[in-house]
Amino acid sequence: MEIKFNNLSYKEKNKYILKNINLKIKDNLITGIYGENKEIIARLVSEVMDYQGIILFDNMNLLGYDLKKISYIKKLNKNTFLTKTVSDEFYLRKQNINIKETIYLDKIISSLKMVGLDKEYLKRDINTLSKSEKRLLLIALSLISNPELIIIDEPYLYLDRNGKYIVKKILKDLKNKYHKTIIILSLDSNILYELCDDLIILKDNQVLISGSIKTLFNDYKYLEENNVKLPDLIRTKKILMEKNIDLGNFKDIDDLVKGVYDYVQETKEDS
Amino acid sequence: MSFFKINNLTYKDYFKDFNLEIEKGKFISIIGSNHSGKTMLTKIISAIIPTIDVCTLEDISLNKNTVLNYISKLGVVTNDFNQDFLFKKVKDELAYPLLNLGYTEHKINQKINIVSKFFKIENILNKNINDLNISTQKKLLIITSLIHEPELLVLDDAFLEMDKKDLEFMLKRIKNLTKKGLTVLNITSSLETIIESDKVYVLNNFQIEKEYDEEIDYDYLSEIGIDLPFMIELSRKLEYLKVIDKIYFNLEELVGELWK
Repeated sequence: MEIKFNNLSYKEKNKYILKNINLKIKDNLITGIYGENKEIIARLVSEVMDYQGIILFDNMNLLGYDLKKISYIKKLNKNTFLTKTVSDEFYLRKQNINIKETIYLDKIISSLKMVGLDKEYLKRDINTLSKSEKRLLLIALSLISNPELIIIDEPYLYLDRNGKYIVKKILKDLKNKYHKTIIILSLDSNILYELCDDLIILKDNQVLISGSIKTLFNDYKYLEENNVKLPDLIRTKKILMEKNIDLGNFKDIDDLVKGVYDYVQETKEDS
Repeated sequence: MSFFKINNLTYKDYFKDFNLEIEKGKFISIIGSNHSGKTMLTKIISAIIPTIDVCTLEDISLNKNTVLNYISKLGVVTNDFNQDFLFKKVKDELAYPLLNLGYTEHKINQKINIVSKFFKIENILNKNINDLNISTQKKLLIITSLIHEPELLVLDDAFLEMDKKDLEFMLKRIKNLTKKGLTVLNITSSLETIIESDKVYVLNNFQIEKEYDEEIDYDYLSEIGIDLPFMIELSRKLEYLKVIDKIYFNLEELVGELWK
């Protein structure tokens, strides 16, 4: 699903939260959104809201679009779960999905399995789950309706390394195997650098910069001037560049380690 | 002598003969991954899960009769989403614990003044909490839990979603309070929060498996699913390749060492 904002403005209490912005979220990519007002973009896309300008979904107006195809995975709050047990919560969501009872149970079990929870969880009282289990359950619930667009706020929140690995794999699978479009909201530029293809950085009520994550951070000076916290890998690149050492871009920490190792070996041989 | 003590805690199928002793004025961290027992331990210490004569704070043994006295000496922050703010204005939120304890308005204002200077939040006292960014909101939760000057501060992943600058500032300020007698129990999943600790315990499967006074065994922590911060991960990998010979916590310093 491709989403376009044309000349969009949004106000709260007579103050512009977004002013005349244009942006594009590309189909079948993972797009990150960074900045204080990132949730507003998610709400504009997933709820019916009062704004000026145009939002297009696959070049269609919102009115022509089925909002059920959009799933917004928010942070946990008091109203995240409305029923008592895990099973109840899945059947509550069935109301929106046209599917046979017997098939639905299989679907529930496979989506629980995807987030690393077994079917024993169906009987569990949601109050007895830990925060990480609640978060993983919410992801399973949000994907059961097979949405076209998935928005996730702080994907790694509450999760340890294993949980992060599960979520990362789900996001990659949604994109690569199921050709979904994904939006990630985060204030942690390391997470965005790790997971996203494209990035949109908001500042004040404007888009500060947007584009491919591979090249967007090349202008790290401009971003730092605008209080964007650089990902650790970009910060490393910056410090190396200040010493006139250009090892290119690193996609992850192993890439960086390899670059440093090779460089150190070469300089050893030279001397 | 220990100031806070958990004595032979056994709870359902989780904790079994669990013991912990903390001295007054110490900053103690307990680190653990998901399902290690962190939140349950917090709930037991803060009397949300009732226990009988298992926890002792100073000379109060926590039970039905002493619970009010016990919790009045406690400050607790969790990342539980049920712990929302009660008021719109920062100042009202800070005043609330003191109102409950029957402080006069004059005394309340005095305390808010002292605390807001100490934590440098004078400029947000009249702001609407919803207008603050998430990092500042998390800061406010901790400050509110300290306003009645508790003896023991219990933090359950209280620094999640706090930015690095606020995190470092808050850790330093809290450490400063321990010099005046505050005891801190920082129950956490993040190694970034343990830097000011006098001692670090590792909680795994509802047991204290290790304790560190100085050097931390990162290999072990990594094994049990704790994420290592970028600098530690990078140092360990370069150390393994014999490019460097110790852990560097500062990137500039590491690059300086590699390219003298």
